[in-house]
Amino acid sequence: MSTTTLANPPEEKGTVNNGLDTFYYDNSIVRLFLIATTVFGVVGMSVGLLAACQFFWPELNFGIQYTTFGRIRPLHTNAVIFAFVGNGIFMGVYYSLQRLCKARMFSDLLSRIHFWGWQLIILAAAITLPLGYTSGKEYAELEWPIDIAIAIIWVVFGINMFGTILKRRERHLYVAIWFFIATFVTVAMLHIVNSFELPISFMKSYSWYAGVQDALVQWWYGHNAVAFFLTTPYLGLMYYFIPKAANRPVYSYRLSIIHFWALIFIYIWAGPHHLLYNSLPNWAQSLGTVFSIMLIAPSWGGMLNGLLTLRGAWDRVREDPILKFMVVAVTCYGMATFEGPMLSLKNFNAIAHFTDWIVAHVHVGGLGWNGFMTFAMLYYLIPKLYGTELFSKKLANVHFWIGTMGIIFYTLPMYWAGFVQSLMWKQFAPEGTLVYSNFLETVTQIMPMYMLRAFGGALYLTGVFVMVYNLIKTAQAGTFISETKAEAAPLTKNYRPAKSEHWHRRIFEWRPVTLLVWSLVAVAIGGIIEIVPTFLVQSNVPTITSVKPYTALELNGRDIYVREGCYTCHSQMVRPFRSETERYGEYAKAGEFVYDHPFQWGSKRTGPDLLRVGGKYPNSWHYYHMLDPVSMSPGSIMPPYPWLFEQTWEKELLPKKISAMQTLGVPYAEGFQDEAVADAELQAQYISDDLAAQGVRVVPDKEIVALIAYLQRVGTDIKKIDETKNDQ
Amino acid sequence: MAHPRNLALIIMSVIIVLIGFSITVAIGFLLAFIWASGSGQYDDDYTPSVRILFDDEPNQTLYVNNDSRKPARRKGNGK
Amino acid sequence: MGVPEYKTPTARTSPEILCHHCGTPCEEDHIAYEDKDFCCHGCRAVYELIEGSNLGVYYQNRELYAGKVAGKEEIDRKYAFLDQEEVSAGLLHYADDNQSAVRFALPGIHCSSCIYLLEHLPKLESRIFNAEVNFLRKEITILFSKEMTLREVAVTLATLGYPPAIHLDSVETTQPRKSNKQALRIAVAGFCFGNSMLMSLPEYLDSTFQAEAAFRNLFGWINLFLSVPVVFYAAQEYYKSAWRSIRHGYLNIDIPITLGIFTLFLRSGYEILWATGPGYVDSLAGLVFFLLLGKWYQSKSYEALSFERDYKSYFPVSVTRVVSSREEQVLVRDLMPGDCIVLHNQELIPADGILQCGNARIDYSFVTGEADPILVSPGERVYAGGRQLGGQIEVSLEKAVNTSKLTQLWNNQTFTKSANPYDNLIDKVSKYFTVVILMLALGTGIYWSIADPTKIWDAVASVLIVACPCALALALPFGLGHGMRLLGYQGVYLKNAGVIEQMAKTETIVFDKTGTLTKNNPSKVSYQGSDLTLTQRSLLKTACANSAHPISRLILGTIEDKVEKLPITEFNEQVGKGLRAEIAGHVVKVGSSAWINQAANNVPETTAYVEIDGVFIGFYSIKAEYREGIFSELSHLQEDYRLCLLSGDNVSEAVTLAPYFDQLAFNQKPEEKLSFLQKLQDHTLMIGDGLNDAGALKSASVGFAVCEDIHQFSPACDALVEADSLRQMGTILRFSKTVMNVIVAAFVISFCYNIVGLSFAISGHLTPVVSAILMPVSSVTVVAFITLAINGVSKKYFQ
Repeated sequence: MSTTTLANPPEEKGTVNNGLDTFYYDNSIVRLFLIATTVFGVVGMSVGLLAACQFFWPELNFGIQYTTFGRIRPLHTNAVIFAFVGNGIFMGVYYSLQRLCKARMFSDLLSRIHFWGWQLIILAAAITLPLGYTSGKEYAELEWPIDIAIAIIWVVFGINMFGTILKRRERHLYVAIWFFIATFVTVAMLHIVNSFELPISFMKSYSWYAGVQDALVQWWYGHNAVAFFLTTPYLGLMYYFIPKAANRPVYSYRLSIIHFWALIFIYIWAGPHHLLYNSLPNWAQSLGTVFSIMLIAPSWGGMLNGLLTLRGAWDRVREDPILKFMVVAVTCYGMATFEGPMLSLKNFNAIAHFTDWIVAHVHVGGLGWNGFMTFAMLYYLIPKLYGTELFSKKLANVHFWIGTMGIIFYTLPMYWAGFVQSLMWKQFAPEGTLVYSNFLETVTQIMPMYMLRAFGGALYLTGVFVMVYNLIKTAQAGTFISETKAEAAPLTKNYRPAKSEHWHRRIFEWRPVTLLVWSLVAVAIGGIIEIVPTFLVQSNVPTITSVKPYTALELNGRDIYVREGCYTCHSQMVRPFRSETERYGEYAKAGEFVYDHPFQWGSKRTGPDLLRVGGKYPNSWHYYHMLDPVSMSPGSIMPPYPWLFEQTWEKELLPKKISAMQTLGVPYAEGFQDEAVADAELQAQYISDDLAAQGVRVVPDKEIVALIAYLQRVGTDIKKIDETKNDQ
Repeated sequence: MAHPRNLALIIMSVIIVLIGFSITVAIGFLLAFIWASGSGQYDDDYTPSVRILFDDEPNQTLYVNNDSRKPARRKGNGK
Repeated sequence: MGVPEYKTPTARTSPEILCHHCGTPCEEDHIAYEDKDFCCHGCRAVYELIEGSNLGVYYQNRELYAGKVAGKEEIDRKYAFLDQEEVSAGLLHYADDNQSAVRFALPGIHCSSCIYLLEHLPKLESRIFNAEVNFLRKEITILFSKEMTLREVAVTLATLGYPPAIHLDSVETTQPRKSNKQALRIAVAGFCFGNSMLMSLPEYLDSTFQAEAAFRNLFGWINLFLSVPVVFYAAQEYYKSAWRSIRHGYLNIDIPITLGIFTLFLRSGYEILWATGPGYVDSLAGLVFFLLLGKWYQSKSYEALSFERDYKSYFPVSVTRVVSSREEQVLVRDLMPGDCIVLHNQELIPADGILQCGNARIDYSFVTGEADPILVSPGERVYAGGRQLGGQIEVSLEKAVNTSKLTQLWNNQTFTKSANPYDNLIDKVSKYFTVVILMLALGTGIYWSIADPTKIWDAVASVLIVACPCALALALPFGLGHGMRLLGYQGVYLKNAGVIEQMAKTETIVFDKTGTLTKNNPSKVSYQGSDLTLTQRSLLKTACANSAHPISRLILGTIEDKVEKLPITEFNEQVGKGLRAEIAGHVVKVGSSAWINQAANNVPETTAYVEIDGVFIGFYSIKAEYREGIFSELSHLQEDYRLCLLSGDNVSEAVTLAPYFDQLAFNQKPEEKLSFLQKLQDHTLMIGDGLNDAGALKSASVGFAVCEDIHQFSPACDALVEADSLRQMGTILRFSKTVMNVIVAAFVISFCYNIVGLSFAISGHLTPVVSAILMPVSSVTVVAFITLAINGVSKKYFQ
């Protein structure tokens, strides 16, 4: 596809003909992000499909560690969220912001740095995650060097955005721009707070927070990441692209303004509902619930505003695939934002949590809202960028229908699976014993659902391929317009609306940058105000004396547990329900996790909870189970982990790890870091001896030994209490 | 490096840190709102929604659906 | 929440050739250009201009045609006054060394295409830097270069068919713009409410939180911190108003509110500082937030149609004054008695004076409602408000503007309605409410001082807290706000919500005839008599062409264009009688039966008899055309109301109208109308139009001004009514009644809440939780009830 660039490279302060600036919108950056989002859409979804297939065909990891579910699931989430949706956001923002501000992006250089930087980050993620470099916190798995890179690139994006807003030629900031600003500010904060971690090596770090605290921060982040990375930017894009595609103003602009401010002021608080029934102070949980419920109002306000924009144009919706995608996208947004608050109600949550229901919920949002909205933008932009018509409306419609079927085939089975499994978990026989005491039964039961899910995913992906073909053909048909000429009157700085001056005008000039400065100052002050009292506040986590730090070997084993992403299928959180205490044992206490950096509560139980697995089975059981799960539990869909039997647990970092833990307040004896290795080898020897006694030959320094050490330790400290009780 | 005990305490009361950050961000947005309404951003809450439909690209075409001027809600003045 | 929008007139449809630009029917000799037809060169020029700057798309999707482009020189003259330093200084709202900004009202704006065209002014006129339209306000803010004069800007707009509406008051006072202090107050209150709720919820949601002393303290302090801006910034208005009412010695709703707020604040402060409890900050912030929201909604609805005008609105900003035979533009308000001014066709007489020269045909319909112009000969007196028709005249003024007869009529104190503090419902109620509350508080105090003195303050404070009439204060603004909005959709634009209350009480409805029951636009003309020969027609045409009398104009309309006009030798016209012309040796007389001594036939309409060379030919009868369906509506109204008719016209229509009215009066001068209404003791609703009804409109309990379309001027009154809406006056009045009933019902509900709350309070059981729940729940239910009820009702009524 050829490209026309203008003879004289357009410099921003273009020729002023009759009082108008002539300037050029930068389309090439939009195209770059467009290509990126398309490519990573394909990649991310393919990985997702692979992961989905491993549910009913575990061998699909090809027997190698880099493609096991525990490692590619983070790859999938990161790819679709930060690569597909992320690039989608930037594509839309770079296109709409320039036009909304009637100005070229602030700096082409920054735009390019932003683009390539972001792609490098994605590349790094794509390499490190399969390699098992993970911080072990969902949706924030990337290790510290990448976290820093993200922060930097994000700031570059911010500078570029605010720069553009500053030199805009349209006085009014369209509501979409507000959504973009909110996205930038909040995501920056969330990312930094949550990625607070203590590096011990180039690719290894420990979360600064422990247990309950870590969980709280993580889900405060997790929820708001959904809110401010997957929702607010797309709402902004919705408010730009739906009116543009439909050629009619948004149904009620006033409503959209209210929508924005209401959303902003409520969203931030809704985090804790992800931890209902978990070891989090009750009042904090209830708080999260209340605010989640309150979210329905603004969310639906926005949804209706989007849909009503198309009222009276349904005839157009019928033939225009772009509008079709948008309608479904917005509808899915509505469904997800209604379901979310419902799930934050304790009694709903009790059923849905840890099941595939949540997976379905997330994918309604992901496939429907983000996916379809992105497709709509792609179909809208490609012809614009290449100055031509869409290659085939027909194919676009085909894509739409395949995609919609895909969503249905994905979500319905998952809802069903979640519901069924959850009921099975809770089903008691008249004599008071669990009907399905063997967890595996509840898994095999929903196997068909998993297959259907994969089918749905495959459909959806097929649709995407159809789209890619369509886009490429369109691009080939046209010529890429790298610069779009535009004219607008320059904004006069010293303009004042005809109204009496207000006190705050002296405080804020009309420039957004000063606004930013002020909010930063506010952040600083607020920080101080908030941090100081924390020195006076007593811990809200009751410490349990019998809970002791992990031994060096266990710590190492735990790191392997994290590396393999066990948390993606196994929770470590027994909730205070009879059905769970019956199945797993004593429910989880906040005090048990004070030394967990990071916490490993998990959010999904594809396999059973592991909090009380310690001491439940003999070492040999774990040995065989990790070597070939089916041998221990027939029908298991857990893949074998042969490499744990070849790789040796590493010793060099051990001292560093210990002293890091000490820094984080874990009470290892002074100087223990120096004895750590010796201590670990001792314990390893002990375990391998025990295994030998059971007829298993294993070299002590294999990783499996460390892992067994950890698994045998998990959640056992509580039992010690009971024992001591029994002695008296 | 501060004394481990104090650090531990800070970690314990992470809730307060979160509330702190949340509130400060919220305040930031409050200031933003004050600025916006103060500088007349919201004096006109209709025209901008139409304005975005015009791309000021030379020799473009304009399609505006005037029926989006909500006459539907005024049911023809009492019939 | 919607606000009444200005009605955008519906597109004209007309069979003959329409001007491509302005859509007015083209004469035979119209301009064809690029296969488009234009009525005049002005329009063609604009078309070229627009096409030339490839803004051609403007023509593609406009709802209706642009305004007709008046002749260049006419426009030029019209805006000449803008060249005066004084005027421009008054209009510009910003100016520096190289640019100035001005804001004009452009009634012509009606659709998105208008926004498009106007915001692209810079493409049409290089010296205009920026143009920003506010559609809802129908305003444009233009930033233009110093090389351009304000006049040129105005002319540019007018040439495009968007003549700026500039009036004297827009010069004297820059139109009041809504201060956004209110928005800020709401923002602050809302913010504090949200966060204090966050800080308080743990306390309510979960008993285990009591244990968390540290958190309780911290949250308490944050709450206290949040409450300060609410009490000392957001809620100010209420203290002011309360204080005012106390100073003027009456009780209004804001007194208990203020009491409530302060009790809440002090109580919370005490509890938090002494760590005795969590305080009531969330209730406090919520209370203020809801109250402010109510106020905002109401003011939004009011703002929708703030058309308060005075006589200046109808006067030109400036006129041409002759000083030592040199013409100059002068501000009307600077006119001195003795000044000699020149008035052109269609210009208003700014002040009473003596006609110097020129034959004046003054149309006094503004002042008297009389349709026929009065012929004034030099030396006679002309009165302010009259409009000159025909050639240019010179008038020497006797009085300055403000003292003129018209102004006196206007400024007459008896028109300004009595401002009795208790005439609106809410204050009436709140008077008793406040008293009761204070009594209760006192009573509780006394009771506990005996029963258990330690509890006095708790109990008394609680009483004041729960008594705080949030729901009560919300009921009226929301109720009336909705009412206004919905009436707006029906084409009835109230000046303020209080009007609904007055409407509901209406017993007698007084109608004006011309322009109210009848249309202002051309009436039906029918000819009876012997057929007119070509010559006769040309004679008649010539005769009538020389007369500015409306009837002559109407007759003229009936004669085809191809008919030749003939040289006229003599012409004279006597007002109220008729005209006599000598044309090519023939004598043509047109006028009343008396004028041509013909026996008057009993046609119940205005008639004009034609006689040529002493021979009676026939007569034209002019039928006043009544609005569709007006009579059926009248007969409906008659069932519930007493109807009166006041007409400035003659009795010709009496027969037609008599059956529908309990009382009719004709040939009414403004003063008479006024006194008539003052005589009526009961609640009157006056429906009229034009300046001539102004007095009457004001002196009636409610005055509706009828207008064909909202943009045309209308006198100060309580409401603007679109002509079509007259057809459903009955429904509208019934609706207003129902609105009031709903509000009363809402009062009852909120009282119930207060009683429940009080039962807690007096018994000293009011906890923060209870108040935190009670307060928002009551407000929300009341508002919800009102919203649903009123909208439901309107659905029933207006289908």
